[in-house]
Formats: sequence, structure tokens, C-alpha cells
Amino acid sequence: MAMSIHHLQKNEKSEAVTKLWITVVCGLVFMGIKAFEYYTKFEHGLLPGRLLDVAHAHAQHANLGMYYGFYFCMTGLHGLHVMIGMGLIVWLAIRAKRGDFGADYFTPVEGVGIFWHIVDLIWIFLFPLLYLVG
Amino acid sequence: MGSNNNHSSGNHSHHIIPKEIYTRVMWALIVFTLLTVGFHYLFHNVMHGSVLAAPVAFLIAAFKAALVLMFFMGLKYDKPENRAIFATGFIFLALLFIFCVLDIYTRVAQTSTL
Repeated sequence: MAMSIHHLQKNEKSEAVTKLWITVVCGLVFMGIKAFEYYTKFEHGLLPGRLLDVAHAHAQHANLGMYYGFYFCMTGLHGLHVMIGMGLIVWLAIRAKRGDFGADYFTPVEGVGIFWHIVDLIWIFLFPLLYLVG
Repeated sequence: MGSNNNHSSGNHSHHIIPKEIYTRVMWALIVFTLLTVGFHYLFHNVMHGSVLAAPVAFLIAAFKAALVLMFFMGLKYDKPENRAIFATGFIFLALLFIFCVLDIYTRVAQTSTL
């Protein structure tokens, strides 16, 4: 994402388009991993709140449902934003391919870039919070 | 920012961050992610739990966040106003977290009625 802005600033339009598509592919890979993760969680009865299948999940305590409440809300909202970001980047890639952006106009790319990186920033904190701590 | 001598408005005044910096930041982020996982392994599987586990994980996360902010979001080369705007948002987020943490740490242990 950041590199596509770099290329646009230097008016290297086709490189910028490639970098945007690479970003979309990375987003897809991330969402694919998340889909797989959710699927296995559902399979093991690891569901939020009251839905937690205590027996099936071999949970020591029903409180585990609270963790999964947070887990699904936080990763779900983050995932939703990743999908919004991917949609926006596809839109940018199409417009960049059309030649709408260049060294003198790349504000939409920069704006979406800021959004994409704040979503990334949140994941930097969510990852240790949900997967490592506790 | 960088060159203030040309007064053309808009995108022209933007600093072009070199590609090498982006690649270096990317590798740094990957290395720090591996480091987080490594420390987690050390604290949980070797030392079987440590009070340092969470602070270390979040310290590394904060450092990674700073890298993303400075380079990917270009805040390092941006106007101080934008830094102030980000800092304001972050301070209020921290304020919200502080009250939540106070609540959690002053609670009496109880069993959930879920």
C-alpha cells in the first residue's frame, strides 16, 4: 500500500497498480486464514457468551464464553474493516489502471492508505492481546 | 514535507519515502512479530508463566505501531499538526483504557452467572 503511493509520487503508474493488487492479495490471504480459524473455532464449540459449548470445548469454566465474546467482536470488527479496505483498494487499483492518479494527484490512494494502516495498527495490538496474553 | 522552497500546494510538497525504508520497516515488523511469538513461547512454555509476558508483548506491539505510524502512515515526515491530531486520539483511547484497567484490577474475584 505504502509502496503504491511511493510509485505514484514518482509517476510510475503500472508499478503502483501492481502494488495495490498485491495489497488486495495479502488482505485475501489474511481473511482466508481468519475464515479457517473461525471454522475450527465453530467446530470445537468455541462460541461467544452463552453459546459456548462447555462440554464439547472441554472448557474449565463457562467464563471462557466471555473471552470468545471479545474474541469474535474484536476480530470480527477488524475483519469487517479489512474487507472494507480491500474493497476500497480494488476501487483504487481500477482507477489507477485507468490513469486517474499520478505524481500530481494521489489523494484518494493516500487516504485509503491511512485507513488500511490504521486497521493494520489495530491488528498489531489485537494479535498479542487475543492470541498470546493470558 | 522536506523541501519548503517550492510553494506548490497539494501533493507536490509531499516527501517521497524511499522504497528501501519500506522494505526495511516490513522486515523489522516481521522480525518483531516473530520476537513476540518467541517471547510468548519463552514465558509460557519454558518459564510457565511470568508477570513480564503481557508488558513485553505490548512493548513490542507499541514499537511496531510506532514503525507503522512513522513510515507507512508517513507521520515522521508529516506536519506537526497531524501528529497532534493523532496524539489527541491516542490519549483519549488511553484514558478510556485506564478506567477499564482500574475497574478490572479493583474488582473482587467472583464467579460469573453466565
